[in-house]
Amino acid sequence: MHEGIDWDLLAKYIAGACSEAERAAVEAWAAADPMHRQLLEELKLTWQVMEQTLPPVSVEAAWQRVRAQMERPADRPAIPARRHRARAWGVRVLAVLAVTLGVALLYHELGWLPRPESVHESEAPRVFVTQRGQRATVQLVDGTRILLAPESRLEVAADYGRTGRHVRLAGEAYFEVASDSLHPFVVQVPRLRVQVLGTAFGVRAYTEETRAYVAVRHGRVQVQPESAHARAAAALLAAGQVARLKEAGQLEIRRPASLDAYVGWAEGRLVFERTPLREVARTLARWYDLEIQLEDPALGARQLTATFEEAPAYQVLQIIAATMNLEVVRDAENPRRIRWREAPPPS
Amino acid sequence: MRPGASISEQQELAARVRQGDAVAFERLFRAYYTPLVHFAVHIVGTLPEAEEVVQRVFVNIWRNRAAWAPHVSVAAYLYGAVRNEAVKYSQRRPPAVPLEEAAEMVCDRPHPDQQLVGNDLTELIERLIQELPEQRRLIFTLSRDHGLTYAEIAQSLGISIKTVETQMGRALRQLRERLQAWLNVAP
Repeated sequence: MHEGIDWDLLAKYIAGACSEAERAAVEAWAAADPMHRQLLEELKLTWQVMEQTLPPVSVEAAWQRVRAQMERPADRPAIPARRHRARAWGVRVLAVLAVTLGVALLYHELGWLPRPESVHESEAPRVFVTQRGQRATVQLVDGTRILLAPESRLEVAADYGRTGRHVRLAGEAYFEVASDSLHPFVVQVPRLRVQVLGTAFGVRAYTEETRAYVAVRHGRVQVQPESAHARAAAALLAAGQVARLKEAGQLEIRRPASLDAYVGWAEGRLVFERTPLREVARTLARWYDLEIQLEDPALGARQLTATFEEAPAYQVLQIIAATMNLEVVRDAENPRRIRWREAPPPS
Repeated sequence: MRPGASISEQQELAARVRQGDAVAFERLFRAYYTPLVHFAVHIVGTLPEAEEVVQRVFVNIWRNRAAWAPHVSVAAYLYGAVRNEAVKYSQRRPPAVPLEEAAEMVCDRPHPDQQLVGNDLTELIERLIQELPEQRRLIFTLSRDHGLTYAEIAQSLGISIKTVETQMGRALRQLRERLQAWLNVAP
């Protein structure tokens, strides 16, 4: 059906960019075959515009700003020069650190916080929160980018960039930190403190999970466990290393064959390596905003090794079920509630 | 979304701005500001940055108004200027933007399956559009959401009309194929 279709012409038709002759040609084509007509109707669907989802823009406020600059003579706006910035702009040295930290949630509820306009106090940190099924990128003034995994919370200190660069994390995030040797970048979680000079890394620390880890892709990171009892020694992680925070508060350093299981998510890959099913369920639930239950808790110990690349939820659930001899049961009332149970033996 | 000015009206407005008519300039601003900002978001990613970019474009127009002569279509000029400024902006982080406006969150890379039961088709289509390669996505957006003609799109992006035609064809084909794939996976 798809051979011989002039997509360019159809696009012109849908976009209203046709000449009379072209329009007549498309309509004749559509009339010639019900399948053609159907295709045309489907294409028209893509032209339906959604209600604008962006927040409204204040034209009045914008006009006032522009007007102020119209009247000012053409000079540079008065902004303090920051000489040390020059190096950071030139070549952004991005080292990738996947840092998973066991971070006890400072706040029990992760909710969708209002946009930063509401934070006016100079002392209050800026807070960014993702919900389940949602990822977001935070871009900071120095060029640092932070990708937040689902259900995560990031706080950026109000004085970020002035004396230091401090953030706090609960959840999981992937950091690409702009190089700035004068202002070390510090990620704080209640039990760990991660300090970098200029790297990219991911951090995972969800309260409901007992494990936490920091994985470094490029560059170096200093990881300092902080517990109420003892001050364990800090560890300096190099590229390819992973530090896991044990329950007792000490760090275990390893060099796995691949960091994919730790930072693959930042590139849209869900990577499981002998991961217990209960953790798989938790990760998928967060990623896709679902409720996933295991009918038999014993199933939770089964281990899964698999990688999924931006696949639809249903496909992932089915593939896992097939691999592990399970069945996917959907709740009739709530399509987001899923159960895995042992598949019946083949009859 | 497109201000319904005819070509001659647009040209007249441009002529008055050239002569320093601030009232005409304000009308131009108010007519195009919001759609230009929504367009710029596609490139710079966040609303405050998009506003910054569009405001700069207008300030530059005013400062160089004596020489401002958009070729036929004011809309094409504006979208093109915004696009160029947005690309420049996103390539180098501007220094010393006040902290309050600097940290911003963008929900990027929407999930391929945020709704297990695909009930909202238009939302799905919006997501699929986000997945198009950048230039194709911009062209599609300028046509569908901003009402620019193919000629205007070509003018604003500095490409040939033929390229616009081809990219639109591919966009449509790509969208339809992905739509089909989506609808097939659902049980």
